[in-house]
Amino acid sequence: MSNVFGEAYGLTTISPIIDGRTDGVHHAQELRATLARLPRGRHSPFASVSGTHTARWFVVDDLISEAYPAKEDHLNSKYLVFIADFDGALEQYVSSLVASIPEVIDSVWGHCVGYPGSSRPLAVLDYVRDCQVNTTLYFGGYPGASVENVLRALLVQREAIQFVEQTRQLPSGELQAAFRRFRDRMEKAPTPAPGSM
Amino acid sequence: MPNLAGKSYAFNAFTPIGRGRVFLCRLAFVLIRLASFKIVQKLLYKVSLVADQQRLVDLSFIHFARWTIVRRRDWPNFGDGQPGDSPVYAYMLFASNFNGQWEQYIDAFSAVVPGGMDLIWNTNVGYPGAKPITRFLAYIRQNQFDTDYYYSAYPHSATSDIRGALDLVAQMSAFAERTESIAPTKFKDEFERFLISVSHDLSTTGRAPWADDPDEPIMPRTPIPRDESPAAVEQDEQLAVWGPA
Repeated sequence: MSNVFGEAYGLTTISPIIDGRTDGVHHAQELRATLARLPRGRHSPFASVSGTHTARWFVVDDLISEAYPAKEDHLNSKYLVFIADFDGALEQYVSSLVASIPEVIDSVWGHCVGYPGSSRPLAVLDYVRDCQVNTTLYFGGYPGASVENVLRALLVQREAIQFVEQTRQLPSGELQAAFRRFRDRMEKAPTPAPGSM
Repeated sequence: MPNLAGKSYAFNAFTPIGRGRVFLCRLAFVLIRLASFKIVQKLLYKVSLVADQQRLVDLSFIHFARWTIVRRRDWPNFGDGQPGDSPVYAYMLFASNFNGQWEQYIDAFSAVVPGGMDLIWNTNVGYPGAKPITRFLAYIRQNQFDTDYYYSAYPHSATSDIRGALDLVAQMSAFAERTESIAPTKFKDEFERFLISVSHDLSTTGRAPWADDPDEPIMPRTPIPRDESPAAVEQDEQLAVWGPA
């Protein structure tokens, strides 16, 4: 099992979608429409779940069969796959999901069999564990960097380019003072909003 | 497009593992993990598999990637009228977050680490080999599942931007410490030397050159009202009879 790489945790869950309709709502169709209507980028619900590097949902309607002589392969249910890369431990992240975006996870996983609802946080954690498939090999491009580290570093990078352009002509002593002010400003600057960089 | 969040692309593929070959597939991943250890890289850098690890890191366009073996019994069943699933094959789920275009990504994998790709996918049914690229592309495309919703915390930044930014911060801290008590007259020379050493880290981020605005939802939050004008009604009727032009 290698769900962890550096500081990041790689979560993969596969949840069976409720078959057919309930009260006229076709679950797989409604689930796809719900996902398509979710805000994206810096307005995404995941922007408010701290520590989320990336997150995705996709629906598996059926398996894709390879050409003969491979055997045809099918699923009886449709499945919702959730994949996320986040900082910290699974328990902490699931509790953040439940606390920060309860309506969103209910509107998505509410179409899946066995989902207990965000009003029962511990049961949601058990549900996620029941649906989890352990990662066999996990790879990250910048191990050890949290979302906050990355966002702050990108801010410094953007500001540093401007700083270099603005201070090119300054004499040595003034440049030193300006550099100290720049470092001080960067240390005090708020972390950019997730999804904005 | 849901596979994209700004510059980041979410890729998913389920490929069937040959029956009785899950053990071999796991063994391949164990070998790859062993090859990623620093001591192994130092001692066996000439071995193809070990060199592939470093090449993969050097490619510098992957944010996160994972391979997950989904065994036949891993498809959850909560009862409650749900028909259980136990497919013929175990599956390998490959999920990646990378920047760039789909074809470039697969092409780079095929060109730079063909040995590693072959080791991973050789146990998979129908795998044609990493080279030639055309058949490999077709295999991956056939087994790809489009993403329905995708979020990235830094959609305007490529992997190399992030690595550069993290390196810049580390080098800037070291530079600040080194020049803490330096004479003001000597600072400019030191600063210029520092700038040269971090020049490759000073990239600019921004919107992707292709058309994805990560802040735009895929569908509007409320359905668009139906156009009831006579022209629109007539067009709908024509479409119903003849299909789109």
